[in-house]
Amino acid sequence: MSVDQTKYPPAEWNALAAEYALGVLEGEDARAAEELMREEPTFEAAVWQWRERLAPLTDTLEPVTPTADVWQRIQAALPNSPPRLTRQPKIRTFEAGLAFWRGWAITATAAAAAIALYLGVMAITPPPDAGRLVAVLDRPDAAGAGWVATVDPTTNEVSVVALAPPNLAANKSHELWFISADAGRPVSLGLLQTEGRRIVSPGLALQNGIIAVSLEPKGGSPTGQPTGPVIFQGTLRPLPN
Amino acid sequence: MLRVWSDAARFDPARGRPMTWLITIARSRTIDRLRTERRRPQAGGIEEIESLHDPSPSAEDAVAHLESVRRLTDCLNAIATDRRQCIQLAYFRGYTHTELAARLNVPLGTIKSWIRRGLQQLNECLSQ
Repeated sequence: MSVDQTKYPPAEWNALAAEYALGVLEGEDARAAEELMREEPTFEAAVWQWRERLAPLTDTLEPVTPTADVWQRIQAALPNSPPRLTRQPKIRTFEAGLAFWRGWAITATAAAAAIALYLGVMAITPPPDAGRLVAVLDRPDAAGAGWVATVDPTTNEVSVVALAPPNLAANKSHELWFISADAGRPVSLGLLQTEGRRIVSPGLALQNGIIAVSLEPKGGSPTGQPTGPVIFQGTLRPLPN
Repeated sequence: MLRVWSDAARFDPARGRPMTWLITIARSRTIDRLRTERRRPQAGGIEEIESLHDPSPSAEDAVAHLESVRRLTDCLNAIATDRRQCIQLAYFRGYTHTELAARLNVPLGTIKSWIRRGLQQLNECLSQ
């Protein structure tokens, strides 16, 4: 039995694949999509492409760390022999990857949740770049992350990526500062952009301290110290390993 | 999640990244469970999965991934609220066309067209 292509013409396969990946199909449409999955590689590829497109939605969920007994129960339920593999994918299993599907609000804070998820993953995967520091630059009211800054201690380079920065008036700039936990006097790290990634090399070692963003006149603070309000800030922490 | 383990042999790297495959399985299992529990109060499935992860994600990978999350979020936010809501309810709660129509009290044809156009819009936005 094959799918009636007058009812499900190839020109509409991409739309059908999207709906199948999303999971809204039912009845005859769902059966047709399942059959196309089995029989038509182009349709199957389109479904996978849609799954890939939609997958980042998962990272907008709040990550949750499982309790220790979850892994014990998984281990207890595993068969004694490993599954037979037709090929050898590089699979590593960890106890902490857990999706908790309870909320679905999509807000700027989702970005912070995604960072937490990734840090969670890094916590169980020895990162190649151990020693790096990261600061998630949040609004003081915790209403969401604007940027994330990573510091490479070997080069002292700071990579700042815009996540959900606020709109900026034409006569203003966002300026990045490092406030050392010891000295406490802010040191300018340069101006920020509202999208993409920016790498700055301040030429000083950034370790214990806070990274902050202040709102300054266009071109940056005229005094070398913040003159406007601090609108985002985050504490530098080591990437867990 | 044991299905990940038992289905490991069926993973095909040519079709999608390991994470996508994992999410697909986890989502379908979760939706099965949500559908079963739909009528109970405080329904909400906890899904336990093992993390199948590309070896050693670097900070740069993490950041690139955050970008993809942000891009999808931006593109979703660009879609009209009604359509976006349908897509989110379908993705996270597993509602089908008919269930969405009943839940939102909107004719089935309208739901179908919202979803189709919403996904089309999403596709165009993500392809930019």
